[in-house]
Amino acid sequence: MFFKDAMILWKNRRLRRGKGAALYPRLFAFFAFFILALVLAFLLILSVSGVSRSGEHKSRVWFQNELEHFTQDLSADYGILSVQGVSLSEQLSKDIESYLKDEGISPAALPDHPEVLEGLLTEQMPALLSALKGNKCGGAFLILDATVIGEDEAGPRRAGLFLKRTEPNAVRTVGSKLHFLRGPAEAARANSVELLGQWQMEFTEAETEFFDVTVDTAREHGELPLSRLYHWSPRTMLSGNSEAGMLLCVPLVAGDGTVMGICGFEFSTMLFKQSYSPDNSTYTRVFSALAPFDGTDYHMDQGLLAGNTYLNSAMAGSIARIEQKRDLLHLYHSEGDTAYNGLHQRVGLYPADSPYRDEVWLAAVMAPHKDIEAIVQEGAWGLRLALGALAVTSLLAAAFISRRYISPVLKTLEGIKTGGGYASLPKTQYAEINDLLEFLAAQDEATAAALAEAEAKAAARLEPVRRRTTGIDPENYRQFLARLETLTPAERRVFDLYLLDKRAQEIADELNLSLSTVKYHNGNIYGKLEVGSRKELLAYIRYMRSQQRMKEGEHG
Amino acid sequence: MKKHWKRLCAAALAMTLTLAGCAGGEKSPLNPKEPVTLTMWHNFGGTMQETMDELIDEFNSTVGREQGIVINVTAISSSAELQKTLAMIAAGDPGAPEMPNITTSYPKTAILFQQKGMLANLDDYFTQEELAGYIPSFVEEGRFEDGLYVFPIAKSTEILYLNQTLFDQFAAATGVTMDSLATFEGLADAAQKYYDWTDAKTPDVPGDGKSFYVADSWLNLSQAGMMQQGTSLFENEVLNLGSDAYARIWNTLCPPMLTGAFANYDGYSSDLSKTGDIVCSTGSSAGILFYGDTITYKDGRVEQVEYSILPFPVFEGGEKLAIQRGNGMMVAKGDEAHEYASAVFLRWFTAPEQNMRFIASTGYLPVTQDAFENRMGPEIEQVEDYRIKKMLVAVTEMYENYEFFVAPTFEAFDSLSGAYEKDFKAFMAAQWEQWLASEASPEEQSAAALEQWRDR
Repeated sequence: MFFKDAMILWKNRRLRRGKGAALYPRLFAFFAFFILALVLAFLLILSVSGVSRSGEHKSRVWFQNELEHFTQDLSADYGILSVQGVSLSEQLSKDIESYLKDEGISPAALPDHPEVLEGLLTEQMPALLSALKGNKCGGAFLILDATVIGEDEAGPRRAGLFLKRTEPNAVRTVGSKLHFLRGPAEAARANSVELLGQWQMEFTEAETEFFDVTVDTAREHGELPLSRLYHWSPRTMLSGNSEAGMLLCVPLVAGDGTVMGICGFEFSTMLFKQSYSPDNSTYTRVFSALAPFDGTDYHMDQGLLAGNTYLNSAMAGSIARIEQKRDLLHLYHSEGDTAYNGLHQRVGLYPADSPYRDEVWLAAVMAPHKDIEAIVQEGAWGLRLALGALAVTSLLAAAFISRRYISPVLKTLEGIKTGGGYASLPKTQYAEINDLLEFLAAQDEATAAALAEAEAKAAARLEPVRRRTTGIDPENYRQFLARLETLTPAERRVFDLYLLDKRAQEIADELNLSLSTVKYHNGNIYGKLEVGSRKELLAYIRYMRSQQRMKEGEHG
Repeated sequence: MKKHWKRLCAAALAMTLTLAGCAGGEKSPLNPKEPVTLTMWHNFGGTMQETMDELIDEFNSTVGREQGIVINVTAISSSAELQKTLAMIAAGDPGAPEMPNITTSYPKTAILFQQKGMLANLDDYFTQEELAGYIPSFVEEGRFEDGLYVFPIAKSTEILYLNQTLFDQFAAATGVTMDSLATFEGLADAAQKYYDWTDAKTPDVPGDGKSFYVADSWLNLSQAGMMQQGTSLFENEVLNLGSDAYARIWNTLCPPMLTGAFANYDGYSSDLSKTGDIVCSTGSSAGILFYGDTITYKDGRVEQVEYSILPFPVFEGGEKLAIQRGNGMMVAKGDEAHEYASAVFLRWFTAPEQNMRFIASTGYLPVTQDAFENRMGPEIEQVEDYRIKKMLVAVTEMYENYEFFVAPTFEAFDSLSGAYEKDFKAFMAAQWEQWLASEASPEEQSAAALEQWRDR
């Protein structure tokens, strides 16, 4: 219907040229303008009120919640483990000092007595095992500033113990399996702990940079209590360990202030993942991270990540630059053109008076920018589609209503054009049109009556002349020509077509007039030219043609 | 007006039918926009973890992403611990964790779940044509009663690990050859000679000889020994200890265990290998990576050593038979999407391309005919780790010359086999103490011990 009308209007556009706009498209254009204005106003309101960014708002709320829970859990777990690490250090320091005393060795002289190390370390196994079993961690260790091996091809060594929980205890399984990654094999066998496949007897200095940081700081700040001297190492991977982790390092300090080594816990990647993986039902690839921040870059390669899809630093990009807030979420530019959106918050790993207080660790929850954009856009597309659908529906409705409204008017006009009498046209639902039709019908009738009267008078007047001669009297012809000047332009156009032998219907078609209009003009022409019939008019016309041919012959 | 409404209704109906048609044409219950998360437990720890992580990562970012599957590994544990935890879940013990969607498991554990209707029948997700592409005996191992419940992902067998460096020193001094390691009797004889040879190094400290051999699983050794002699350790779901075949196994193993020539150790043989406390051991071919390439002595000395991989020894006169090991994956019964997604992962993980990558860095054997028959040869050439390369060569040869058997699967097998291993070691430790205090020869003590063992 709508399309059919549009096609007709398009086809008739030439005919309408110079005659003004058609009613139907004009009304439709009015409606369409009104609808588009409404849609634009709606969009403006949405834009101003921020409803169109509801997807981003929702994202922010979601990330805010996740970050809040993550930070709370993280602070609690790391805080508890720090306290437990300090307790472990106090106990081990006391036990080691006691062992050395029994052996007649001062704490400071420990590096000079490698022969006591196996026994000393074996003695510490129960305490370390107990600490490992009792805490949420992936491993427990003890490293002494002493060595049995001394130095080999791997470089200088350090004696110690590293007990590894191969199954993080975040999953409630029967018992956690403990393995021995470093330490004297006898110490493991004496305590029924299996050696890991990658077991080595001692640590290398190269893999224990965290040892130097903690021991040097403890020696420098000997006045501070242990609770101020613990340090969380960045992500560290010991040779042969199946996974990396952050290491809580607490110095082992003897009564005389000698720093004998360090002990602590490992917060492993698997444990971190199991503990802090955010809900991924909304953002499949969302992950949380704890990593150091140097004021410009967020070093995820030095921290731990947790996500339900298996993530490692290679996937997430090792270093991310945090960009100022873009809209509602932060943007994290990572290496390899990977970008993430999310939120972050500082986590306090140390007391205010710790020597490590300036180290900034940020907890963050983020997801690939593409994923978030896709979800936000999904919401925006929904709104756009809804608005689009509303606009299209409104336009169709406008077309329908316009047609319904204009259709009777057009039908009436068409009826008027095709003739047949105003009185015969059907009544419409519009009073004004019905009144107009009645008025035109009355006019029609009056004109027809006048025409009939004029025709009767002319016939009566010309009857004697017609009877007198069969030819055209020259005087009558002269008067006929004079009377031609009295014709209106419209009547003249009709008359000129009669000159060309056109019939009334042909004239109507050519002049785009109705037959009745032609007839109306005919009546006027007869009256003004004072001819009584079409036959008489045609006689004058033939005479005119003969006169014209004669003139053409004289000139020719 | 009616005409218009009719047209509108027709258009709406057509659109609805079109949409319904689109939805109906999709067979997969998965939706990439709403991914299904599968929790997974596996026992591929240590260096195998890296390969497993890489593969899971790859799956998540390719097939998983396309189809809407996220594999989330929530536990990596030793095989024994994992089986213990699973047994707790199957028994419904208080405090037991929630069953993962997909986990590595031995058939002996899986059957506990299957009997309670807790497992998905994988026959529903794999066609016969697909299953025909796998090694039949590997598939059969995971099939009980009415369906396939443990899907093969990687298999192994037992082999003899030999510290070639230590053995060569011993062989040069005593004339013992590697041929003697082809049989358990020869192995026991060589072990005693090794003990005596090392004991003689410190004449002032008698009885400090070193152990030569240890088995990771005395149960598997006994099962293999019985099968090699044409009988079985388990008959009618109980231990068959009364046979002559068992007595022969006992009398081969017990004397060197009493003297210390065979170690009685509650742990993996690789532990003892790392400190040079044994020369050879039988264990899973997949354990190759747990053996280092050095020995660290108590005094901190580190010695570079080389290992050789030999076929599993046979009792003299017995058939060449070895156990087929390696767990598979079982899938928890759940909704269609989770079961379907698990099958998608298993199909991908065991496809030759992925399977060969896994075995090339872990030492397991592939499970498909294509991988085993066509890809093993070229793959062995490309393996970078010489230990894995040696193992693959040895095991491929074993598969050409040996027959393989699988452990029986019945409800009590898990507890029965666990108890056998534990009791055997404890019993041997007690017998050793008794023997030290007695005047009896190892053989006499062994014979008496067998009677006690049978009468327990």
